[in-house]
Amino acid sequence: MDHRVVMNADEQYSVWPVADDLPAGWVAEGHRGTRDECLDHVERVWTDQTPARTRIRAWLAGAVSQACDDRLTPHDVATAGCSLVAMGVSSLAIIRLVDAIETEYGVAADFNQHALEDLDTLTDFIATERLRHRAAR
Amino acid sequence: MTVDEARQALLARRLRRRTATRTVPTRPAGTVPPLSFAQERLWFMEQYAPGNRAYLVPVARRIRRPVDADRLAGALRRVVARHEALRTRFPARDDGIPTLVVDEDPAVDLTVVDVAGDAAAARAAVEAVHACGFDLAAEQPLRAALIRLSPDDAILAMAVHHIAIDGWSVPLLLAELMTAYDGGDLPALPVQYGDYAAWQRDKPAPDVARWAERLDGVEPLALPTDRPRPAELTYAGGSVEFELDAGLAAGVRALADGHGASLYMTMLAAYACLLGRHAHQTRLTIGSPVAGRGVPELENLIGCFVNTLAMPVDLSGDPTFTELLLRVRETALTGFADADTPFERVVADLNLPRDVSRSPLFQALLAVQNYGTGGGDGLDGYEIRSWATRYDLELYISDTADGGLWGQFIHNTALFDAATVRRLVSHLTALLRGAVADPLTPVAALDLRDDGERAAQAAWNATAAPFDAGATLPGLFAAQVAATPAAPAVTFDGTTWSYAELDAYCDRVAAALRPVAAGPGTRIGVCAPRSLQLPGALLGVLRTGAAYVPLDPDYPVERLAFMATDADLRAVLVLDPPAGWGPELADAFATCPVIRLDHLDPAEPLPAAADLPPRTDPQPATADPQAAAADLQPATADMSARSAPRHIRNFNISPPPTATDTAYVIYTSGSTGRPKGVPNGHRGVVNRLTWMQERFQLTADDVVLQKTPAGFDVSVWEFFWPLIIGARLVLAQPGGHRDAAYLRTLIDREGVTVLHFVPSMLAAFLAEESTPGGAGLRAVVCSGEELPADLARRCLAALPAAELHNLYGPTEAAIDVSAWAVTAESLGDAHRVPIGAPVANTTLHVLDDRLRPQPVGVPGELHIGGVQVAEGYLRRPRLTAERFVPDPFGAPGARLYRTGDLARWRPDGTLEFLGRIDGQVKLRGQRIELGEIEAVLREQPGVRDAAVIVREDHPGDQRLVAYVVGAAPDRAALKRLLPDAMVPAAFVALDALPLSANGKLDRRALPAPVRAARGGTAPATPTEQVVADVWSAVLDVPAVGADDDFFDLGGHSLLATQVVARLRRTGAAVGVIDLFQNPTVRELAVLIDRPDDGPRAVIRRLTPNRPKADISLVCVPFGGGSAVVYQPLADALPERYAVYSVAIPGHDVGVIEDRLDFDVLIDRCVEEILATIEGPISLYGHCGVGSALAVALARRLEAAGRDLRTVYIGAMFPFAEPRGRLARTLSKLARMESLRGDRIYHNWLTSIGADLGGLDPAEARHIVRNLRRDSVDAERYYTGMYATGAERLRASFVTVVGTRDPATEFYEERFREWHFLSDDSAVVVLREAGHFFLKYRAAEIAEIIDTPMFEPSAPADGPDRTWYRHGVSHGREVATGPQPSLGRFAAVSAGQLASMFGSALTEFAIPVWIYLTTGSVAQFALFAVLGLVPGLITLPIAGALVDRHDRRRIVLAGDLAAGGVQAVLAALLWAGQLSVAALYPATVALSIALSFQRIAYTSAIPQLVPKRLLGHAAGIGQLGAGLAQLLAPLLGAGLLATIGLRGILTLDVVTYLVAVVVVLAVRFPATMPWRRHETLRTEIAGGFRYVWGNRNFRRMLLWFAVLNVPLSAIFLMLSPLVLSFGTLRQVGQVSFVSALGVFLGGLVMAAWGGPQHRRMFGVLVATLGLAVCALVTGLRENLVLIGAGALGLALALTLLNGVYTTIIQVKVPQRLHGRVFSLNTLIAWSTMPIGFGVVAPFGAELFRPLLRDGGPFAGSLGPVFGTGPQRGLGLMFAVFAIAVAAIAAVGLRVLRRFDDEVPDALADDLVGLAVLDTPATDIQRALDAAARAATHRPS
Repeated sequence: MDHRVVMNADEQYSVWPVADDLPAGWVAEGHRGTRDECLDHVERVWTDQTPARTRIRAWLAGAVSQACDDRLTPHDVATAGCSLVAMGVSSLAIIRLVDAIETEYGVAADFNQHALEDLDTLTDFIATERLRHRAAR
Repeated sequence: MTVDEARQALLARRLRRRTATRTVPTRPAGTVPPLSFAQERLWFMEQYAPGNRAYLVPVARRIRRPVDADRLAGALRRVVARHEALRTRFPARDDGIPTLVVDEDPAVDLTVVDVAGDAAAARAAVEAVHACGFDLAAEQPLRAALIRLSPDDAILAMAVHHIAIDGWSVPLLLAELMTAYDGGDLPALPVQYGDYAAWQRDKPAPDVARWAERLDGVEPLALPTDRPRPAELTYAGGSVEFELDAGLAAGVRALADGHGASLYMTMLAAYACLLGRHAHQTRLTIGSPVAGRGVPELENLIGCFVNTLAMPVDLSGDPTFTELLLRVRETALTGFADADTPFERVVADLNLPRDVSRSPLFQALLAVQNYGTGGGDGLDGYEIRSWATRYDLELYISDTADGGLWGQFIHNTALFDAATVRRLVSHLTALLRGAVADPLTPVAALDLRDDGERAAQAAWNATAAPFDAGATLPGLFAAQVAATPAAPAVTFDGTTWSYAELDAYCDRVAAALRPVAAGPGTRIGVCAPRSLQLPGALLGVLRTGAAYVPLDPDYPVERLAFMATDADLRAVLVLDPPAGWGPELADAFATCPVIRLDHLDPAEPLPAAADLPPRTDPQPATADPQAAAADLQPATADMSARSAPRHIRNFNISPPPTATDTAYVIYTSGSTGRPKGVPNGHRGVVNRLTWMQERFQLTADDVVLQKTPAGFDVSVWEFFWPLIIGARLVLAQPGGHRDAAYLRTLIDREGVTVLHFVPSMLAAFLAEESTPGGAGLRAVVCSGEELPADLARRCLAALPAAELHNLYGPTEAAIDVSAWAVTAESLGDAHRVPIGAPVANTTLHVLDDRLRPQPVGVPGELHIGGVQVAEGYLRRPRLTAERFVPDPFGAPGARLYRTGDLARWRPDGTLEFLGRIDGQVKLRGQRIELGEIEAVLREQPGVRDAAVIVREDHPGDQRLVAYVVGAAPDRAALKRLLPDAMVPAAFVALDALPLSANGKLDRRALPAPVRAARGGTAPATPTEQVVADVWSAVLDVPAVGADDDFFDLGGHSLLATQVVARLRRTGAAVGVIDLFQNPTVRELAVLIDRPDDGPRAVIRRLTPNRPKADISLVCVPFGGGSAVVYQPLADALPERYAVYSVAIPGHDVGVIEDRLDFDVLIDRCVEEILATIEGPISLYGHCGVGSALAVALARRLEAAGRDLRTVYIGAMFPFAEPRGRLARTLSKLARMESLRGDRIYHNWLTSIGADLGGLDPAEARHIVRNLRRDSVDAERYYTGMYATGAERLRASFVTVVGTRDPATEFYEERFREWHFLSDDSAVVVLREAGHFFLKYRAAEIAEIIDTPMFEPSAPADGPDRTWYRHGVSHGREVATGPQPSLGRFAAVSAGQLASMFGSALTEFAIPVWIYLTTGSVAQFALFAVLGLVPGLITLPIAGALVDRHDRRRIVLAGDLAAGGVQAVLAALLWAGQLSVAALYPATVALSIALSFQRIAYTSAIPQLVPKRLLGHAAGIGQLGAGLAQLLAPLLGAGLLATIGLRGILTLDVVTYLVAVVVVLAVRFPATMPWRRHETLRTEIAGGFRYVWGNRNFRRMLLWFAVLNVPLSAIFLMLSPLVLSFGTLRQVGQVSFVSALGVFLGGLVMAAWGGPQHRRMFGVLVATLGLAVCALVTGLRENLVLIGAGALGLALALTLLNGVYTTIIQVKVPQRLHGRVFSLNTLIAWSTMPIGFGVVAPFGAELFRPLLRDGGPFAGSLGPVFGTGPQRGLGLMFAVFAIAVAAIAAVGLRVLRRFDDEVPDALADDLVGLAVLDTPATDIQRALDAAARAATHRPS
């Protein structure tokens, strides 16, 4: 019982000694055991190794595109590199987006703030919020 | 130590014996004292390196006042005159033994040098005094000079040889000197040094074994050094001084006090921590000097009293500092308790591998002292700058005036720089601070870094640099295309594509991939050789957003297929599949579409959008919600590209990737064998390329060579870096990357400016000097393997215009993560090229296994953090989680990649790569730097390149093999440059080193070394051809020439036997001896072709024809030995000997000759000797057969009137059969000779070190058969001689015995037995030799033969001798007192055996009686234990007492006690008073008494019987004891039933009366009894250490321990089982049958000898047999069935034990047999009480109710076992049987590899040699002896 399974915002797994403090940005996933047992557990549960943020980002690009009624393609969104407002996403679209985020990820977003952020920041926000929720559990 | 402690101890002792008398007596006036141990050692060291400064004690003091030189000189003479040690010289005698001369007058001069204020001149003058050593024979060991700086300022410099002084003496010397100078009184000295030496020599020998135990298995300290270790120890030292402030010092002292430890112990703990961390070791040894002045009268004496203690420190198990301190305290206290043991004796006693490159036993020294800083003499210090050291590192600690601590490191300058040592100081300080602050911190967690170092390391990782985090490879390429469309982009094979052309091709590829929906998150395989299309294909894949997976077409199809499936490829792009690749290709890529790149023509116009398949829809159907949802899937190819950048043509492809998408997946093979894919993202690659561009500034004018296969990540920068900068990429031909000449041409032709080399290929490139090329190179980038420093230097020299960069990076990060620019200046004389500092946005950490940062210089695992860390392993979650770990130093959530590489920080912030953590090469316990050996090899003339690996072509035979390009170097030259352990055992010359596909050295492709023939003249005659063919086959050499020498080609005696055997099959009658005498093909063929002239000669000459030889030595081999065994002896003897050997027919392997009868053989020998040998003769005979033949020859030759000088007998004394029919019959019965199988002898021969392993079975059998018959003949010969009496010979007898040979036990007495043949007999002892020492100790035997043994000059025992004359005897001594005889033995044995039989009856009867009386199984078991265990426990005491006292008295006492106890019992019983309670003490007492009686009787047997009959006598004794065991239960049961316990006890008392009467009547002769060689404790402890060190033995031991639990219960419960339904008589019958099983088992083992190979398997099968029999036993209430089961149980157990015995015989060196058997007995006994005391009684309670009528299992199992009140016992047997079977099954699992993995034991004599090879006191002689032995030792 000397190790625990840990996870970061990209939902990447690793193991860490119970006795040692966890580095910032990592939370305990819940499983404890010997190092081998923990690794066995990881082998079972880590089914998609794509970093969570890559997945979230791709989803967001689509979601934004959808929220603004396809006036922007997902690719436009993904490569824009500027804030949602600067992309021309309307406030209505942002409300739709916040709704979609909450439905998809269970994360409550603050649209006043996020409208001014770019896709990467929003991605980070969702990923870290999800991690925070996990840690809280 | 710690003079502190010594002083305290001394003080305490002084207080105690204020009134006591002196310990050290004054020696009589005029006697010359002996050398003390210390003097002797130092004298020997001086002979080893004469005049060395290493043993000089330098002294320098500043005298800041006017000094009168004459008065000072007078004072100096007065002091020297006072102290004998200072005026002692050591001239050597002619025979090299040191003597000692104490000069009456001091011969010391005070040189006066006036330097007139010149400080530098003063320094030079001081150093001149310290510069040279002493001639100890001629000079007194002190010199002094007064160096005047000014009238009132001078320096007193002195040099004293360590032989006369120690550290303690220095302040004494100075204080006395200044007192004398000031005219003061010097107190009289009670004793002189010589008195001490004499006293020390007279003291009883100290217990060296305890040290050996403590230090067993120490490993050399492996501190990482700044320079390679020189082949021989060097002595130049440097000094680094430091101070610990008062605060820290107080903390350290408080820490010590708080734990009852001393300052020394605390410093030792800290020092060990420091060294352990630096050396990456958890077990190390540190030496400490102890004052050695435990006696008050030595306190004020000048001389060398110091001794050194080796303190082993164990850092394992993650101790806290407190724990470690307590450990160290324990170690130090036990060490101090044995401080008197001279260090050299300890070294000599340990089995250390010989190593002249470092000091023996420890390489780091610690001394905590309070002298040396002056004080008391009124003088100031003067800094000494020239230091000598005998160690790697010395640390001195002493107090300062202000309460702080002063420290000094003296380091070996050949290994360390002062800067490194200063860092050690800083680390030591930080460590002490940490320990003081929190002693409960685990020592591994103590930070060695101070704040400065922590800050520096942080700064080295501050690598943040701007780069475009959103960029992707295709994006950057596209931008370049847009910028320079017409510029040349790619050249291959003379064709060049512009950027636009390349771009067009990319589009074609991307378009071709569209139908398979390639896009972000998908993977596309690319299987193409280097070609114009390859870069386009890669870029085309990337353009789709997918990641490319390179599939090297040169890979095996299986590997490609695995990768294709594993990577889940969407498609594979294939170019130019080679012919014949078709079907396999299809197979390989069966899982995905294959797209042919060669079908894509860039010139062809692209299909219009409308022509493309229907999935292409420029307008997404947004109205359709499903389609909209699909759009959200990033992997969908249909995502619109409407907003694609302008330069990408406007046709529909998937969206280009974003920076977080995967760019490539490269497969890397792991140690596990299954390759694993590593995805790396665009962002990491872009960062890496941005860094590279910053660093190298590539321009459009640059040309980059692409030659790395795409399957290696180096290719990633080769492909994309030039193409995003606008430079030109030149691709080498497929395969061209391995062709140095081609590359040189290509580089010149294409004007390549930048290229990459794997170091192995760089070496090949540079070696290809015949072709010019490379002049235009401006940068050479190396990575992929360690870059050897010498190769870097060569590269810089050969390509002066090119920068050289060393890069490092695993596949698990985007290309490289560190870099170092190599220049001649930066390289200096470093022996490693650093891998440099981290690249941009990358951090590198050297961490321990808990991710704690290691300080500069300390090795740890390299970890990579930052933007370039890969995504993980593709579809390997477990492995990814294991290797990619949370990064405690980086951004939140970041990961570190654990590289598995060992590295350390250099002080300049760059890293040094130290190899793989798991791949460290360790050969025979030593860490070996292969790179270091390679570097030395490359420096040898004629060697262009070299690689060294450790091979194990034959299991267990690990050898260093060197592969060189060019000529094989001179081994002798290498031996001067490298430590012995690092000199390769074999060299293989290659045209080029094999490289793997990526250009790295392909270690697996390196061939096993073959012994190469010289070639020369081909065999000419048919016979030569036959011989050559046989050699070629046996030696595995392709072609053998007519003049090739068998032994030069790698032949040795074992292979010689094979040659002879094969030649014999062709009809050539040659023997091994013939091959030795005719070692070339031609010579042997001549011999074979010689016409048959009758029987082969029996007497063979082994030396060249020496007509002038003074004396001839005729040697007779041992049974089964060929004449060749004497070849090494013949070679070693001086020229005045002509040596002959008897080739006993039938002894030569391969020549199946008829054996000659003893007499016939003697006749032939005598005949031939008389005819061919003139002049005086000596004889040598080895072992039984050899000695008997030698004796017979001696008698016949003297009878023939020849001048016979000496008969040498090796490893044997006379042996004979008992006379008298009864004794003979009994003896025969006991030995079962005719029944015995050959394998018994085979095992025995193997165990004592004879070589039989390599023979084919038929040959081995042949040898064993002849050996057996010859032995019988030899014994008959001796027996006959004893019967008829023999004439005494004029010749003298010299017996040579090995100290480890059981055959010549009692040699101290037995050598006199030869007096029945001669008046003069001497015995010579070979230290550490076993039975077959002839083979290994030929040089010493030659010395022995060449030494007159009956002269007084014959060497006596001495610490430095490997052989010595133990004793000499003249004439037959008149026998006084009782003499040993068979009658005496028979009488005593009869009495003892009778009483033992009686006790066996009692031992059987008492538990049964108890059971019958009480019905309690627990009681029954308890008595079984009580009858057994107390005797066992007292066994060691009994053994020790028996060894010390008269055996007769102990036998008597044992008899009386045992008989007495039984008499009391009998009396109680008669009186009806016997209660169970009374039986407890009685049984215990009886058990103890019997133990005494038995051991005393057994060890008295050699006293009672003539020792020549000992073997037979012991056999008869055993037979008797065995019979008693066999019959006792049978009779016991009967008697118990008829006369009852009462009768039995009475009978037993009567037997004891008989025994007592006999012993009283018979006097025991005063001859040597049997004695233990080691105490039982030592045996068991030693056995445990040996066994525990070997995984397989350890497992075996544990397994036996477990097995014993059910087994002992089974055997115990047999009687209760029978009694549960049967009668006492039936118990007796079953017991008898059991004993019969034992007897049968013995017979089977004798006849069979155990399995030949799979012995452990045999043990397991026997165990299964036990299980089956136990089951049978329990099955029914049927006496026949139970009897059969009991018989089987006993039989199987006996077989199991027998086979186990053969395992030990064969797998353990003979000298350790006693230890291993003792240990196993202990283990067996230790678990037996569990079986007896717990399992059996509780089992019985548990099981009995189960099968009662109506019991819980009566219904289910009742039909099988029957039901009844006692049937549960049957069930219990069945359950135990299952347990035994389960244990056997477990054994099958854990022990299955035992037989294969445990090699046969090293020959005992080889072990002995290794023991002797450890650095002995006389190093020089030990070296010589080892060298001689090596030269003459047959391989």
